[in-house]
Amino acid sequence: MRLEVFGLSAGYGASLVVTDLDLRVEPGEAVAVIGRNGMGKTTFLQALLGLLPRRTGRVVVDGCDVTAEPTHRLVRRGIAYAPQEAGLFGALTVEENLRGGLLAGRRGTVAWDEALGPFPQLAARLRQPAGTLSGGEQRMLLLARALAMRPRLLVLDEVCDGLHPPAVARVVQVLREQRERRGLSLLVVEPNLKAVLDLADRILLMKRGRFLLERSPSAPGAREDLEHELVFS
Amino acid sequence: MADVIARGLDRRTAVRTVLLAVAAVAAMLGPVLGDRYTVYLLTQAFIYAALAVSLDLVWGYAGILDLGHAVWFGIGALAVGVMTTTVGRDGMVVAVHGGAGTYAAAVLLGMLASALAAAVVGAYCFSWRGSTRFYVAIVTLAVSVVCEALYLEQRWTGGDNGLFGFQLRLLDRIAWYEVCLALLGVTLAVGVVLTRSDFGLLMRAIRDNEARARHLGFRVDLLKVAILAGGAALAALVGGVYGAAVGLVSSPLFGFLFSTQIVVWVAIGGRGTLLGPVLGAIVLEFASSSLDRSFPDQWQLLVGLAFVAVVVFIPDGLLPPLGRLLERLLLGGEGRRPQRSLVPAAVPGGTEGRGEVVAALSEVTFAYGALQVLRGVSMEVRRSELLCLIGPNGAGKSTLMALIGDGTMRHGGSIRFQLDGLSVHRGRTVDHLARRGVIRKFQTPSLFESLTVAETLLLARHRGQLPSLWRRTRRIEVPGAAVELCRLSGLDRHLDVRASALPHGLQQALELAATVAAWPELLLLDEPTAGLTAQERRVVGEVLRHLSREQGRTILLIEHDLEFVDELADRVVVLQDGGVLADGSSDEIKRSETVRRGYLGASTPP
Repeated sequence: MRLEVFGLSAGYGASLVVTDLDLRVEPGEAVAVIGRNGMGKTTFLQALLGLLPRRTGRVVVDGCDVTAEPTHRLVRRGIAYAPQEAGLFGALTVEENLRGGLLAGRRGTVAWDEALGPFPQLAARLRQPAGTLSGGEQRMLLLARALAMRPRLLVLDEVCDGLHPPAVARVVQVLREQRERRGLSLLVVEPNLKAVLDLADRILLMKRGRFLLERSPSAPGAREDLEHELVFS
Repeated sequence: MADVIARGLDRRTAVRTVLLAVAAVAAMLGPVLGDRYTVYLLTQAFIYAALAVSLDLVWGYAGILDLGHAVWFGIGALAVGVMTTTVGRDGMVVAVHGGAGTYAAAVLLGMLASALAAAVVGAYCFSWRGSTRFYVAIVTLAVSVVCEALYLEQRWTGGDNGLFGFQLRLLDRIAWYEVCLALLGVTLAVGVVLTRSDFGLLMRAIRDNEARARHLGFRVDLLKVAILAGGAALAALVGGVYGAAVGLVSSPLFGFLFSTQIVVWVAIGGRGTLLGPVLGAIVLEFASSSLDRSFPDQWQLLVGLAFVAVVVFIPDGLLPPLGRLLERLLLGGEGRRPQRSLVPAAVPGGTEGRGEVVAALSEVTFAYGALQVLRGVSMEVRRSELLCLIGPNGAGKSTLMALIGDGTMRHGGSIRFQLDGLSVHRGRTVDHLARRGVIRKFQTPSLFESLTVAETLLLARHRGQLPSLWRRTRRIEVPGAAVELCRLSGLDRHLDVRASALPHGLQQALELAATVAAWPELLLLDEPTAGLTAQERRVVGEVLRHLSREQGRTILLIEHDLEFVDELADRVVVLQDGGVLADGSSDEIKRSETVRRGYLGASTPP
């Protein structure tokens, strides 16, 4: 999926948190937005997905202006969102949570392999209520639920937070596979540069609600530039 | 800059003083300007307003929805009635007696009786484990209904007729007006002092997040009983004055209808604002009496509709939006001056006894229902060390940490502490362990949403000690390490920002800073650096290391970032499938073949 954002501004009450943001994610591309806390990363995602009213700006998906569309319509277009704090149905089982992700999304069957492949320990707990999972397992389920609907654009807020290293490695691998195989696009926000170095094609640094710097992780000196700005922003 | 702020303060205070003076003068002019009926209505409205304030303290500030508040008021009025009348065989009042002294004694007795009754109800509601916040609402409602019915059955209460004719005749109409106005003033003053005090913060903290308050060492159940009893005593004082002024007490004063009416005044006016309930009571009382004459049938319906409309459209009540409008009109956009500041405090610390065992776990088992989480964990935590707990998701790390901080979770095996005044673990509540020096930071931020950063730290600093009921601490003394954490994370620029308005990462940082501010012996930190940048992680790590090495704190920490663990940990325990897989220095762990196979190995890409 191609996502284009033009001049997006949003905030709470009288104050703007993010101002005049432009962003483009190509099909199969992975873009990461990094920045310290309070710089507007989560606000950006929420405004992008229509979870927070936008003050200005247009959102275009595959050439189609979707600015006026409510969140659930965006999801039906194939955008999956895994928020920062668990948005699971605690009383429902793991399996029901995965199926629920599908109800909201496009029609089709649950992509069991893609959802559970990276998380064998979830596969063993399909009938357990999601609320009884450990904190890290709940993060896994959030990701699995997003993957289960075979999204075309996956939007992640601090994806690997609280996951143990083997799971992080598997997530990175599955995302890479799906990008290559079926053109999954990826938009990630993260405070931690290290977490997205292996994942992203492009990294944007957000500072006080604006994109300040853009680097490709493979470019020479990119890591140093980004780290420098992260520390001194 | 400073004088701009000072002028802002002057203007704010000036506006507030002028508004208050105008209101007070207008109120005192009531008898001059109004007719007899208006004066009578106003007198009653002041009493109701004072009653609304007492409910606002209990419900608006402490979050205890008391649907039987009329009962406490009724007890106050009844005490005066019973002590100043003689009831005949037929249940009618046959004689009225007693001087001012009798009335005063009756009011005091009424307050005492009311507080006791409320304490019994509160103790029943709050001590029962697993009771939700609606439990107290249902029980108080039942108490109100039962008391109204019981009242009718008794001869000493006057039964159907109630007791009447016992108003204190020393004072005339106008004097009673002034007394009731003064009563309202006093009640409001008590309310203002209490809610602005450090204790007021604790009340809001309990309303926002009981669990967190317990984890900071506060005896939440006991405090809630005390707050309910205090509110009841205040309501009984108002009831006593009502009795002396009006000279009438009957069953509806205890009833559900009257109880609901008080709730409506508070809700429409704006709970948690003190002034809102006062306006709500006065305006609604006035409107009801005048509209009652014009639309006797429709009036109740109108109030009901207004109530529903307020709850749906302005859940905060009418005063907060009105206040914001006034503030804009009168003060322009002038900012508030900084409310509170942090200063580093001297705290006990030192590395004596380094390496002694402070917590010993032996064969600890735990299950959530059928799900076995811990299968025999044995380990030791030693004084002044930074012990990292690592392991796959679902290995039981958080559960183990929760268990160490809460002796009331049913578990097998044993946990022993060797801290000052703390050795037994089993059966000890979270708040008990917190007061004795064991405090846990949760995996996901759990804060008091309406408290600011500084206020949260102030409460954390108290660690279960009762905060002052009248003093308002502006310069908050917290341990240097907590000040440092605030500076490093940027929290120090948001000291007067409410916790709910902070971004996720700063909420994490605040939770960590609050845990440190409480200055426990043993810190249980569940992923304290989640959501931080690599640089922030490093500096937080340095603060934690300083806390353990120099200041003698013992830290047990859950972490997934193995580089971070490697730099920081004195010792590492690897948990897997509810058991200890390995225990040793981070070098030993890295070299261990078991760990490599069981956990780390999977992280190297194939």
